[in-house]
Amino acid sequence: MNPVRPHSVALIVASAVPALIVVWSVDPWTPIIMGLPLIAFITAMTSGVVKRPSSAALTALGIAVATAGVASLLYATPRGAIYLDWGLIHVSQGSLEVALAAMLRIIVIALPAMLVGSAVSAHEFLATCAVRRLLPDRVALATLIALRLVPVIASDLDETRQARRANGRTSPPFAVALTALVISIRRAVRMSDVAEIRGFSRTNRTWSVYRRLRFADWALMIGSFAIGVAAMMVVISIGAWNSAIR
Amino acid sequence: MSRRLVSFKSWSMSFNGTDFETLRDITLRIAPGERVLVTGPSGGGKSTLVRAIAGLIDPSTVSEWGERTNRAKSVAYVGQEPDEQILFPTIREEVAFVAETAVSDSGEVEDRIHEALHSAGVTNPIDGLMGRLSGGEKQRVAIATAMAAKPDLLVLDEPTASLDGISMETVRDAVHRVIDDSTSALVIVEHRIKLWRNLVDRIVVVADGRIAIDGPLDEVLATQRSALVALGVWVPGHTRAKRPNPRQRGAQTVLQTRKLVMSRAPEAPIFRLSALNLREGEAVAITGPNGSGKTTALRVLGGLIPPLSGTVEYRDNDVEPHRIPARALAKFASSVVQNPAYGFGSGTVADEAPAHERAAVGLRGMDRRHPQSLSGGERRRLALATAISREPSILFLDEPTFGQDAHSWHDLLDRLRDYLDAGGAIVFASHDQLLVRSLAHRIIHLGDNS
Repeated sequence: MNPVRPHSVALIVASAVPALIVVWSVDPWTPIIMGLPLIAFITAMTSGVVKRPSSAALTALGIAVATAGVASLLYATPRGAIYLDWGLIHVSQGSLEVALAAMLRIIVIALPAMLVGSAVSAHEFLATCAVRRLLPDRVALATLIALRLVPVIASDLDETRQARRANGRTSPPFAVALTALVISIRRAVRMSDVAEIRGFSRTNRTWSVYRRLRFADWALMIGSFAIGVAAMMVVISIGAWNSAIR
Repeated sequence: MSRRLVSFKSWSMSFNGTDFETLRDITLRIAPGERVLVTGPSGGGKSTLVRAIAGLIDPSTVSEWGERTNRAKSVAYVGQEPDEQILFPTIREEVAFVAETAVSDSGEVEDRIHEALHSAGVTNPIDGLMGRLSGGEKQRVAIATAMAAKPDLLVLDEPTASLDGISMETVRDAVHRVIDDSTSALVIVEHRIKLWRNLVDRIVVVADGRIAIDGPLDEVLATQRSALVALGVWVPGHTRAKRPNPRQRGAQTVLQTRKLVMSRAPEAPIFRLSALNLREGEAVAITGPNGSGKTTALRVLGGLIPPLSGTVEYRDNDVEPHRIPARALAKFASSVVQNPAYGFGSGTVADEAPAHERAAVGLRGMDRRHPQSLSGGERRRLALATAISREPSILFLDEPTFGQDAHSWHDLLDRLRDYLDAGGAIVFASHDQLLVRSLAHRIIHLGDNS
């Protein structure tokens, strides 16, 4: 039997746990103690059913991590022993800690999201929100349609630049954005007609992509949450918790 | 008295903020199961009428007089632009959106999706991405989606307007199948009677905001042929006497290319174009199915985007076309893109192009209108008038005859021939075989990424 793809709600909740916890603390220990087991847990729970992030995505993450680390290392407020002091650049014991914490936080927030991202279905997530009455049907549907239009708007900008050039006009950003906006609004009006006539406003919709959370989905959410809370407890008990909320 | 799905009695309307009636004194009844073709001159009010028939006109945006009643329990609508019919990323989600409102059990939704796709002849993988389908495939999915609710009335507004010949036939066949399998009434807007002749049984001709002709198709074709021709309807078997295609070509080369390799976007398909040497007074047609690279080729040749490799050279200009400043480029090589609405920069039609050029392409009496308010066919003619008014050496035209009635089509052809006679050169992409035969000296056929 083919393994069942985890529910999108479970994937989103599980990958959001580390983000919710590391924004509470600026110490480097929370991401270290939480990160490895959490990433291993999510990987194990989604093994075989979720496409892993591409090397290009991992490279982009690496660049983001390195950029944040170097910026923190060179420009964070100096504290403790000073290792380099040159103009605006100060490398100190404090800036080393901040850089390490910044890099680890980015990894712990981004990596779980990247691990599950390809398997998240916006349609399933929003259908669940609509069926469970967390969102009105119309809001859920409008969000889905708006997501479909994001790449179309990007193509509108290209089309506008080329059509202006064809007409002998330069393409200052404001003029291009204004034309693309007008075109987008006109298209949105036409598409809203299409949506409306297809039943956008009907209240008796049978959400066919909706499915209930299974045992494995609950296990994924509760397991992630438990790892996050356990990591917090450990960090607090060793006295390393450095709350960002004063 | 026969049951009516939709009826209009002495109905007129104007859009708020305008001082003219778009539709006037409309009296029309559509009965269940009827198959009606709505046609007429470009900008005559066809699309507005079918939007009213479909119930898509918001009463708060118009002033209306007379009676309008719609008794259809369910109406389905498919418009001209394939990309504007798509609301969701995959075929399944697209059709499910309608099926979910038609049945009460989620298990039945799946059956309804398969039934609708089968009926419209869609054979693509059900979880395939809509964005990867050709224009014809998108329209067939749109028709399947429309029929998933088993509507009383199916309204199609030029569903094949942007499609190549083969895609047109597949969409026509899809409409045939879904209508034959159902009891739905059909209202279809089209310029080409020939394409739909075997499917419809009644013709309504809308001209200047009024219903000019309404009757059984075969009877109208037999008895009112000359009236149809006078109204600019493409009547099967009728060809207006055409001036011979100018054969005199100048000696001077205005554009030449070498080993062109092109792509519209970084991850889009790659196309190659054989060497082209374009001379004064010459028209070259680029043909090929949807997605074969015609638009990309025109944009590279017209200096709107750079090629991946190879060269395009204009006469007396050492700069690569895509690096020429916009104003200088348009003076030498003017492009009319597929959707000219992106490029209009004036608030009125009169400010966009000079009067004599507008008149030459049949645009009269609309000086104060906003260019964006014109019909698709009128916009193309306005863009052509603007481009020709710069007196460029080369014109690049992308599907210039979309949405044109017989009169405006001939106006457009005459103006292009005059331009060739005056020494201009044209490269145009078109699915319109009559235009290709009437204008082109040479044809470059693109297909399968070659």
